[in-house]
Amino acid sequence: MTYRIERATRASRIGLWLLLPILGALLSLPYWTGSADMRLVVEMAYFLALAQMWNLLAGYAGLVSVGQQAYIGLGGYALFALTILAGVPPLAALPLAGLAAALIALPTAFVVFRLRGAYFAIGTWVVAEVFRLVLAQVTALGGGTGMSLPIGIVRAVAESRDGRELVIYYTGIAIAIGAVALVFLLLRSRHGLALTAIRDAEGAAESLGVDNFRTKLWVYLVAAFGGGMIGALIFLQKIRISPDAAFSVGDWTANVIFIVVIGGIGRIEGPIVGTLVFFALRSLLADFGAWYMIILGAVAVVVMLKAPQGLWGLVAERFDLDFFPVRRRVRRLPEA
Amino acid sequence: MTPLLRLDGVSKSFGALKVTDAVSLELAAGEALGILGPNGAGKSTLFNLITGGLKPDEGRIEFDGRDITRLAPHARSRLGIGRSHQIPQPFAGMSVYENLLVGAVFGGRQSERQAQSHCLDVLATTGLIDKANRAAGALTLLERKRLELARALALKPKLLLLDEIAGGLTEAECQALVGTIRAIRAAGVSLIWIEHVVHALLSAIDRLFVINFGQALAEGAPAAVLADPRVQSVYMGIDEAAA
Repeated sequence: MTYRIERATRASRIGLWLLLPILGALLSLPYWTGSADMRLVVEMAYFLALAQMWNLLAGYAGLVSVGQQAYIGLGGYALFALTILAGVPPLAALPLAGLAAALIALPTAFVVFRLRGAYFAIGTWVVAEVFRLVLAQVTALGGGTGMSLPIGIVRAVAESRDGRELVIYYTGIAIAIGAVALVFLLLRSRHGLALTAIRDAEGAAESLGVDNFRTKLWVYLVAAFGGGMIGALIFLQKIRISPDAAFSVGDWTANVIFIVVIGGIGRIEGPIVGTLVFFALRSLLADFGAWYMIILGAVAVVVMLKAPQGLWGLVAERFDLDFFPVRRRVRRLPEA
Repeated sequence: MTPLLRLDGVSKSFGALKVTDAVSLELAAGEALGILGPNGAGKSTLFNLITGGLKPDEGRIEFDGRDITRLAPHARSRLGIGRSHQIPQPFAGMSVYENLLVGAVFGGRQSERQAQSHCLDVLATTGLIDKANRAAGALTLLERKRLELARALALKPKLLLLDEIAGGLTEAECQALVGTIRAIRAAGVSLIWIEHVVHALLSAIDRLFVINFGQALAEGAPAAVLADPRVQSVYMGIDEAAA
């Protein structure tokens, strides 16, 4: 009997065709809308990228970190340090900021990986607070009050304001697509096999030859690299940085967890759906002041109770949809 | 000839409780050893010491002529030690085929492509081929036990450790399982099998090892070991005086 292993699903084949008009719309967006919409899409793009990173960490490697703002903040500060103190061009500083974050994540991992479960979550948060307090002491980068990016460096992105917005827009889109593609390709590879095994049964994975520590370590480093690069982009767009904004647990972790949990943890589609829902709720509730947070929290509680697999989990199970096929299907071929 | 597995005075304590007490044991290549003992005797602990989930306080463990006493579990599985868990631990969100692929790719150190035909073969011999695409979380108890066995076989083990794999099965299911295990033995895989279903155990092993309170109680040919009054006393509850 002969068999073949298949990866693609019907949804994924349709999805490829759906991707074209979406990509077309995103790439042409600057030519048919204003800068306010562009800024919104960039914000969505970096939240999507952050959510993909957190989903990889928590949804697959079981590393429920509430301290990823550590790497977003470090990335932001690395951008300021590299451009102001070392004279690196701002766009070249983005991947370097990611590298810097990953470099600092390496020793950090050996500390926080000693903790498990809830202790790991708290530990990562404490680490992020330590980074915030340390950077508040660095007077060359504005100390506790923060600083703005000098005009010369801002101009190095592009001479005109419109030009800068265009560069940041396309960089944001590239980072979001890059994050989705990275997670998809990782999960499809043998590393994805190891990660999914760890997610489902850690002990069994180890006894089948998976090096759990190393697998989790590189996921942590990849997430730190992503966080650092995204952080650099965020503060290149904002032009101003301060320790409180850079290491904000509310902005960079609470919102991101909300997005992943609402959309569906442990699925690539989850963060995409979650980002759309999060921004839809935010614009709907923009005029309600404090009610915004209360309603957001209530939505999160209801979804967690009624649909722990997230909104996309509900849809995917109901209609057997899988736009990012990481699974392998065995198909028996008819006898020749 | 050096034995495939050698335990030399291995001890392990949890606090004041000595769960493994100076156990020495040898297994020749191709041999099948059965382990009997009352609940809490330290049988599964012994497996965890061999697979590396636990590290011994004293003693030395050698596999294939190599000291593995301090080696991590994943490294031991890459040397060719496969195990099934007493309580099945399937990768619930992955398909049955992918569950095997984990063992073949990481424990067996093969590329996905190389592993493919071997995994399909193992699925066929363990009777899981029709369930290849099913999520492992949706399997019945018997299928989960078969998956434990299949996953361990996927890494092409030299030594297979089976932990109460026949418990809870019907007589017919048990017979089928014993058939599979005998076929695995015939392929040259060495075996250590912990089992309370004694008749199933006896039909597949060469030698019996009885453990009680973490200590070796008796060892040797199955019939002789089972006839030992000390074994009858601790394991079958037969009073020594009455016997």
